[in-house]
Amino acid sequence: MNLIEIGVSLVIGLFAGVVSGALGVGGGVVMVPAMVLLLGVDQAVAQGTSLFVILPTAISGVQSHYRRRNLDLQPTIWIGLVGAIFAAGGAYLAVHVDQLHMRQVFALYLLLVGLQSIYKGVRN
Amino acid sequence: MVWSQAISQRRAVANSLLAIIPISIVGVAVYYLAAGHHVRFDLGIVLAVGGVAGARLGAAIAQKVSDRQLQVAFGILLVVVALRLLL
Repeated sequence: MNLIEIGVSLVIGLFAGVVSGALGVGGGVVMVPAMVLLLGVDQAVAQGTSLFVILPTAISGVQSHYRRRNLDLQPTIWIGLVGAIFAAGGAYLAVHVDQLHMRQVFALYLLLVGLQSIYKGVRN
Repeated sequence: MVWSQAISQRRAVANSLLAIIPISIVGVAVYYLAAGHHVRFDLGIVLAVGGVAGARLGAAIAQKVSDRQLQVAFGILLVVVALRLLL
């Protein structure tokens, strides 16, 4: 990575963090399109990388919740394991589907999340 | 996970973070092990550093700006980005 890439990535991460901190939205909806449009990363690579970014955040969050005894370990582990099976299927599909189609499907998803957010804001 | 009244909002957030860990690990593994190695770990680490700082800033901003304004502004941004990706 060169300095410009590092700088742009820091700003993307910062903005994704601000949005998720302020609105409770997952950072992926910000990071994935930003990586594709600003850094020229492939759609599938952007999605895989965005999944990876979740890990340190989730682990540090879980640590502090564990200390405060906010976790219900048993039911949650089951949800996580079933989710993981479907995540494997989803990820397998994502890397094997034509990348242009993947990008279009992702764009439609973004469009829905965006319209939903506008609707929530206007309705409140 | 807010469906069960026995579980408070805070527990729901905590549990959902815990459930995300195996989901994310398996997802990353499949993306990476597929031909083409679809994960950029270097990029991910830089994004995460920015993200941690941003999340704190975002929580502070949420105290000052109304939810409505944030939701509408963010929604418009997403619609524009979606169209940019499509066209």
